[in-house]
Amino acid sequence: MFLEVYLPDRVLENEELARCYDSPKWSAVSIFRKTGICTRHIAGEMLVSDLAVEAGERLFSTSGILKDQVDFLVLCTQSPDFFLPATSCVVQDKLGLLTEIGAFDFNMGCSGFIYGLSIAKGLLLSKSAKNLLLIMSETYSKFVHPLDKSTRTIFGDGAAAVLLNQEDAAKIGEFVFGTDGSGAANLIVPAGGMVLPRNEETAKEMIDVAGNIRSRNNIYMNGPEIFAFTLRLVPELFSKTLQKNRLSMEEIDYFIFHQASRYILETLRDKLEIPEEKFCIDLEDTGNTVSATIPIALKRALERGAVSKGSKVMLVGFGVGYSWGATVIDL
Amino acid sequence: MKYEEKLLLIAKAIEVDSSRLNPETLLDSLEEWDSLAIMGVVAMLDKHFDVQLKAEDIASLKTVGDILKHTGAGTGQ
Repeated sequence: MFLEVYLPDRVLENEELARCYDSPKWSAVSIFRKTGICTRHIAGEMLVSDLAVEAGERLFSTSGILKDQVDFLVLCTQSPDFFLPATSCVVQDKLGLLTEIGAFDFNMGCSGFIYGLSIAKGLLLSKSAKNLLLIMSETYSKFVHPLDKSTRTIFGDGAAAVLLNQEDAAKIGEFVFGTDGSGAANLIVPAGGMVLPRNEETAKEMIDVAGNIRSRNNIYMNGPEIFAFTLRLVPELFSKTLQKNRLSMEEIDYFIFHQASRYILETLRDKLEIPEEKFCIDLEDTGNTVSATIPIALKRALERGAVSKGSKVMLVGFGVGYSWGATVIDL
Repeated sequence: MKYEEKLLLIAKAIEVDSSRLNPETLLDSLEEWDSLAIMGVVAMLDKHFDVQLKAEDIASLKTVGDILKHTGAGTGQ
């Protein structure tokens, strides 16, 4: 397995946010205290396909694998270049992959990397693919209203590219999945899809009780409800995943949950009684990059030696949808 | 758990002095009542009372008394 990450050059730091919001409750220090985040990377004019290509190019240059060896591309994003065609088609072309390959997008957020691994495992073990390129690429910043503190302080852009072969697929464990669409409205971009096409009305800005400004073209997140959902849901997901993989918590070397916010992660760590040194909290420099948080955190964990070849790592994704999933992989 | 102890837990979750709280206190009247405070209350109720709030429960938290209602049926610590 090879894994590379791309974070756009442009950064949004707490100091810049503090100047924008100009309120003691939202000083640089308060923002860090509330979120655990110092820096987010912002795509700006770059598209999801651009971030995907950057991550992909890095992967080919560090892995030594040739582009012509890739026979399948799977791209996860919720901010595609177009409704159609699929952004993976655009990426195939921009990256210069062969035309004799399969490629498709799937639309998933925080649980995206888990779903991506399950898709990869299926295609590889069914011998429908030999060398699969799985890319998470997300640019939520394009949905965020600059004066919505609840989202702008949290989300960052980024991409991660993973190259998997059939041997790697055999080291991906069993999955547990879940879906609850009754929570759809709690993390949503209301306008721009078929339900409510963008128009003058949807662009009208509104101010909420907390003083955040957004329109229906922007992303809305009900933080407390998402938090309550994760507390209701993740413990059972965690224990079911261990059970399905016939493992005890002690047999797992490292836990990488979706890096939603420091507060959610610390609360989950305490509730599940996972030792601090085995639990990944690493979003200070990236913010919440949605489907890319888990692979980015994994890459950084490999780089600092928190995990290495042979480590058993549990991956847990949960969020927008609501959607959730988890698995265990052997590195 | 005694009322005073529950009030202390609520105060800690919201990050205010417990002397400012009584069951009739309107949460919106507290400057500290923001989304982080709500999450603090959600976490506190889960940890100390094994109560997991749903979306409707969160929306109907208007007074300190509404929070206290959720502490009644739990096992407590």
